[in-house]
Amino acid sequence: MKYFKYLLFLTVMIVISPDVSAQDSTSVAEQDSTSGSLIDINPQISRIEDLISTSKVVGIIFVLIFTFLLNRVLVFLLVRLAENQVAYRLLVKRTIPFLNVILWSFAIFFIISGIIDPPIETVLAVGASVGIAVGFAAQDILKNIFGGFIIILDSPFQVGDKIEIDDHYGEVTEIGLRSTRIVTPDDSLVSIPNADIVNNSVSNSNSSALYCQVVTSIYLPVHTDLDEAKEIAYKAAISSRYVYMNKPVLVLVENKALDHNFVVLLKIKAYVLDIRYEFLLKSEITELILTELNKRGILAEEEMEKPNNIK
Amino acid sequence: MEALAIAWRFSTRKLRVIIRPIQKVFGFSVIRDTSSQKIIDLSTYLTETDTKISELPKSYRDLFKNDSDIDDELFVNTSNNIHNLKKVYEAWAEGVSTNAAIIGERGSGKSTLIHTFQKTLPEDLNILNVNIEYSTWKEEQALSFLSAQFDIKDVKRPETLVRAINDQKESRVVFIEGLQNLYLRNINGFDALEILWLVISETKENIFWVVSCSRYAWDFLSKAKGVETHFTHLFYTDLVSDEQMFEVIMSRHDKSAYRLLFEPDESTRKSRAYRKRLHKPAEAQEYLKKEFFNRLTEISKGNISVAILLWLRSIKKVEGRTITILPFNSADIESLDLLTSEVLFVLASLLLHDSLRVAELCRVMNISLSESRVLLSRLKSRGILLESNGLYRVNQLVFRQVIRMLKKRNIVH
Repeated sequence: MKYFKYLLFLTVMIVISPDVSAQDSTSVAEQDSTSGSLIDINPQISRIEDLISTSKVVGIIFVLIFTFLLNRVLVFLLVRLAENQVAYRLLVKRTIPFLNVILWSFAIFFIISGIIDPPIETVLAVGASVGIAVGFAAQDILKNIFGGFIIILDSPFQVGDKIEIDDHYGEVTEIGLRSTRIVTPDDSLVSIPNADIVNNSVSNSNSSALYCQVVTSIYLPVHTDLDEAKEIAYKAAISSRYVYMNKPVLVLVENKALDHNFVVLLKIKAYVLDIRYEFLLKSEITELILTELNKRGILAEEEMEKPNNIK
Repeated sequence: MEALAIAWRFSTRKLRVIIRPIQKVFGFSVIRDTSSQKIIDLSTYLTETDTKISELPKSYRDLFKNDSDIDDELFVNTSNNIHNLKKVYEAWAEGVSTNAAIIGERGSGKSTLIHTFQKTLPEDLNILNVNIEYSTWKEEQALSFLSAQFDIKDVKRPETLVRAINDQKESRVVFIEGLQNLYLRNINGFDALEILWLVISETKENIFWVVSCSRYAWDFLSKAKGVETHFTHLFYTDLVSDEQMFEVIMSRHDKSAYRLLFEPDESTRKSRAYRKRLHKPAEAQEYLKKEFFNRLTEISKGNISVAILLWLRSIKKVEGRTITILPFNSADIESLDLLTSEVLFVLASLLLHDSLRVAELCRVMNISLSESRVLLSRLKSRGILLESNGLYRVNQLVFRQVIRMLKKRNIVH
């Protein structure tokens, strides 16, 4: 949002600048020699005053404040609605970035066409000037803003999704025009520039659904009775209150080498009923399996201490 | 000035009517200062139901008794279940290995269907009725329970039980009621069910098995353990149409000598449709009756016991031979402050098992005994749960609302 404000400020400055700068280059050179040049400046100044009068500045400020407040109120209401209507939480939240863009676009359009109301030549000149000025001065910012638009239009993820970018994994809380914010499992807020997101691969765990797959890994001694272990793992998964039963629970077995020993890796693939319980599901499945394995003596110390060296 | 004050009062009242539902959707407290009063009202409403119903004339109460052994003329044969069940039995009698499962919400008439079906069977047929009232989920519990039902002693292994049943060489029909009590959603809670599957599959030539199970337990077991694969025919009792629901209530009422008088509630009184019928009392009564049953069928959603309970709870007074019916307010439990995620999971566990004890809930939820006790007693004190002999279950008056809330939160599907 604040970049729109910068852009607006820049626009206003450039609306003034073509004429002023043109005037500057001639008038400064001729300032000392020609006293009559001051008379030439007056029409230019009056044109600038016409474009940016006090009433217009007040109007612009009013529109900006109004848009800002309206945006805040609507976002607050949508967040309340989303949290209260759990089934539609993600659907409601994903409208927030669109609302942001639409509101600020309308505000900018209204300011330029309704309040400043510059002639078409000025708009074209400003367009070109803004393009060049911003292109040079704010390349990175522009990249991020375009990245933001691409994210909103392409929708590789939505607010509320669980995504992984580089080393960061967490729930998307905000898709801004410059950056996207995610909250990690450790409750850290990570801001990732949109340009980075567009240029990197993004892994989306739930693709806008309330549920997502959770993979729990359990390492077992290589001599473990696999049928028994798989049965325990399956029953642990279906016993968890956080599991989403409309999707299948799968237990897969892999042979792994760990510290020069062969071990069996049990992968339990289950869906969580709400992405917010993702880690609780993982923790509960792990706890249930380990408790049961210990109870049945499958993880007894002597078993674990039988290394199977890789030859 | 007075006109202005009236206009102001009128417009604020109208505005409040519009704003309240919006506030509710957005999750704002509707009227903060009276919310505690609202909770008290709801708790009182839920807990005083038994007292209210007990004040009704006994003869009238008896007609609506939640009893599986009802008169044939009061039985509503949903989806022609009796006829279809009979056909499945006849196929078994002819040597086809069939069996049946009856599925429905608690109070939807599973036991009534079984008892009514039994009456159609040949009198000389050996029938065994097994009612699993309490949670029986351990292997040894299940073995001793089942062996006692078949009058077999010293059973230590499921195979021994199967052999002993087959040795009896007797054709019989076995009705098992309460399959939901034969498991516990716990890592070790499926052993008893596995024994029953073995027994059913190994004895189906000699025994015609009919098993009843509550709807949400069945749905869970179907997804988790493929329960439906063990049965050749499935019957549902909670698919009662609106017309059948009307029939259920009115056939009982018509057996009494009472006359019905429907009263309008606040919103109906203001409605144009009602006001224009005011000068024709018979038409107004017909309109109110229709409105009442529309609401009743919408809330009970095919559950007969919920409908009966709501009907009895709607009786405002009994004067002489006239019963006055006032539309009920469906208890809104979503505005209660106690509905934390922990509480929602407790309610979901109770739906999956129909009823649970404190110790069983702590196994299902993987929580401590004291936590389990606190959670259950908190819900009981608010009237959401009812307790009898240490077994907790969801109050039928809020049964539908609980399901709706859990579905909305993706906990029950």
